[in-house]
Amino acid sequence: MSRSWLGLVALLAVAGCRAPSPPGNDALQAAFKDDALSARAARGHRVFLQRCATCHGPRGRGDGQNAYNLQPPPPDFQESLSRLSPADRRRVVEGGTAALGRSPLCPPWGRSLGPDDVDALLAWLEEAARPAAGLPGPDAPAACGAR
Amino acid sequence: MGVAVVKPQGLGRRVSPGLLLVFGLLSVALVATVVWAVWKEARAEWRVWQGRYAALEAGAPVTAEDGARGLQQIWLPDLDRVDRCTSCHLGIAEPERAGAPQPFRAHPGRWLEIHRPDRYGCTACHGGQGEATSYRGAAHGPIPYWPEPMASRELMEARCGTCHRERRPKGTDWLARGRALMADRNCTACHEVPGHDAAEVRAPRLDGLALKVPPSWLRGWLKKPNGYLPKSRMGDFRLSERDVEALAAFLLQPHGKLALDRTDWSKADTEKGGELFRASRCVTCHEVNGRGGTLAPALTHVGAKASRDWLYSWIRDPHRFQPKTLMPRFQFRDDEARDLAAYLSSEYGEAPEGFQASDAAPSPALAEEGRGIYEKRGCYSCHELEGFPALARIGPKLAAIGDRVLEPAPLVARGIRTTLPNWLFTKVSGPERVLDAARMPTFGFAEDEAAAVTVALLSLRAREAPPARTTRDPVRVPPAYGSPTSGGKPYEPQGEFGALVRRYRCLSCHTIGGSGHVTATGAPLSTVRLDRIGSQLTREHLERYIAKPYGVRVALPERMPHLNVAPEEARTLAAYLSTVMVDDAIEGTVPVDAVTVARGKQLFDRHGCVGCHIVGDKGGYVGPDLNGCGARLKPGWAVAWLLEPERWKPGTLEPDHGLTRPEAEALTAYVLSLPARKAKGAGR
Repeated sequence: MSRSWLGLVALLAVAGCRAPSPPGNDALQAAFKDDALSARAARGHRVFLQRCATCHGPRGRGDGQNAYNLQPPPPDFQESLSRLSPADRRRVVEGGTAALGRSPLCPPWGRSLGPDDVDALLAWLEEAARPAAGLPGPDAPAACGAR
Repeated sequence: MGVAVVKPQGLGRRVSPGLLLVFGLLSVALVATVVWAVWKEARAEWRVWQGRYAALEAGAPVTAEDGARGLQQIWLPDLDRVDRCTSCHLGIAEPERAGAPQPFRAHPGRWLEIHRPDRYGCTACHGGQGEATSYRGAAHGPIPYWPEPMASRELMEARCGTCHRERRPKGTDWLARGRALMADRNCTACHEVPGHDAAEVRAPRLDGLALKVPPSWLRGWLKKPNGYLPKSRMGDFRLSERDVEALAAFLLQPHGKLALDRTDWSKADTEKGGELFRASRCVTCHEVNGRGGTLAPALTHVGAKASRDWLYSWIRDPHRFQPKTLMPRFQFRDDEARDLAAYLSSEYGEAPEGFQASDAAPSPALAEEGRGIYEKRGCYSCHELEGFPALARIGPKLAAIGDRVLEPAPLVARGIRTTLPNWLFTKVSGPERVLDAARMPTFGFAEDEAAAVTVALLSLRAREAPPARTTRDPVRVPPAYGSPTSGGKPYEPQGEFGALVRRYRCLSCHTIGGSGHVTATGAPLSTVRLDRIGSQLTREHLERYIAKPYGVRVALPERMPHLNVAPEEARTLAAYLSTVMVDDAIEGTVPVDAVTVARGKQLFDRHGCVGCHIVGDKGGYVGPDLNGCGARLKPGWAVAWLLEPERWKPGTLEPDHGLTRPEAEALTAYVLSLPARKAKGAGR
């Protein structure tokens, strides 16, 4: 009797002191991953889908539903984005393409988006601009960006 | 009592060597302890960091190690928190430390501007042990069995939700979605959920079910609801064959006094019905073959579910069957309702896969057993049924679920990681995964949906934040409708206008004073709020549009359905909206002279407006077609909109160009002077 008590106490002590590495998988952690995006870039991608995808397309390939109405048309970011410095990217997001002296068709979002959203959007573009990385993030739902 | 009294002895008296040794050792130990304690305090982790921070500030190499500032502490009695985090996180509120190495880096984003550390501390948002002064002691990172570990980045929004009790707290993503999903799936029917008191349980009444569905459909549905509706709001109750049979027997018994309308089906014209189906824009709410809205059930297989007579009766007057339905009572003629019902049951009459169960009526002998299942599984919580009492909620209260203490053994046995978030996530994804005999249905959430619900659940804490620290949804009542003290009840339109609003179910998509249906995304279906619509649009346009709606924003998939509102009803609605739903602050006129209009044209070109708006034959399809929009828009509203689009419609695609008032007025003067297109007209 006393033996088994001792054993139990020892077991409890071991269980209590050594934080056991919990078994099993943490499915929740996996659920939060948005492809390979960081949390901030994923937020940026959502901003992009809401405000930009109508013209630029869900992955920035310049194939949004309104793209064909624009002259000059929106560029394919996989080719064009690396030509803009990070500072110029911010200028375009905040002040529109007119801020770089180009056509005014890409409007300024600096007053509509909060600073956190602008930062997140730039973070997504940053990840998007990496060579050969492709443009990350899931495709937009069908109705996205149409409002 | 034998208290030993030590008699004074001469110094010369010998003390036993053993005692001397013990005394000596104890003295050494005492001195060593004191030295160790002082040394340890001098070498405390926070002092080391403070020394390094001082070096960082001086631009010196990181060697100095004097904790010059002393221990930092934020004491917040009302939150019952003492936070010493800033003893090491010294640059947290210094924007110029944005790129500094941790722990000195400035807080990212602009969060501290509205949550100043001296007012909110750190652990109120981040969790962890505020009184600790070492890395591990502060519970950075997940520590098993620790009562309040620091929240991971993914779960941060749950911490926001403890104070921010609105349905859609600003700036949150997962939390808002989780709360909307909880309302959509009727969680509050079975569970008492703090903050969801006002959430309405939405599910059909089950009276007269035998008039509507065949036994084959009911069996298939009860077995696997998402086999019929991929986005079913009802969960899968994991019923056995016998349970399905018994429940079907009970439900197919006659309940209530409903009867169906009859019509002559030989005259039905399915082709006309199809035209009517498309022209009425049913797909704004109903999905067919994977395309369409999500406000109402998909109709892809509706013919296999509902009888033709029931569809006919339903289309004529849905409110007779379901008083709480979101569906409007369209103004169809009887022959139109008949054609539409005939079209639906022939075009969408195929049963979904896996629904080939027998159509034999279930044995009435099982009905009593079915009634027991109806009660045991809490069906009554969502579905009203004539003759069945409303019983207590079947599920446990969800208050404090975010602080639930888990019993690890059963989870370990199932290979489930024993953290509370992971348990919640697993349970929400599939209750049977954590408990075989779970009564809760499986809702078939996608992974990201289950994660969002987990975040929403984790925000329900045992200790609520003090009222002064919490924010809640305002109970909004438009001033024109009565005093703001109308008992916090949702807005309910009255009179003739109210009767029309109820008939056409305007508040299923639109909102007035914050009242109106909110979809699973947490937003109303229509982006058009009616609160000030009378100051935005002309009365003539409102009347025309209500009688015959058309796509103002052509790229928008959700369009107002053709309700066939009668001309005199449209006049009544337009008159009411124009006189009552107004906002004096946006009423006004603009100067319309040639110079101003020319200036407006310049601005229109300079800001690239044509990228999104059609003028003449050119332009984009994002915003409204502007040809002839002077007949539609009121000038005061156009100016207000151009000046602050984000204020009127957060998240809008209309950019804020930072116009001055004269600029906005000139632009308005130009846009409102554009002639209507002659060839096709402004609408269809």
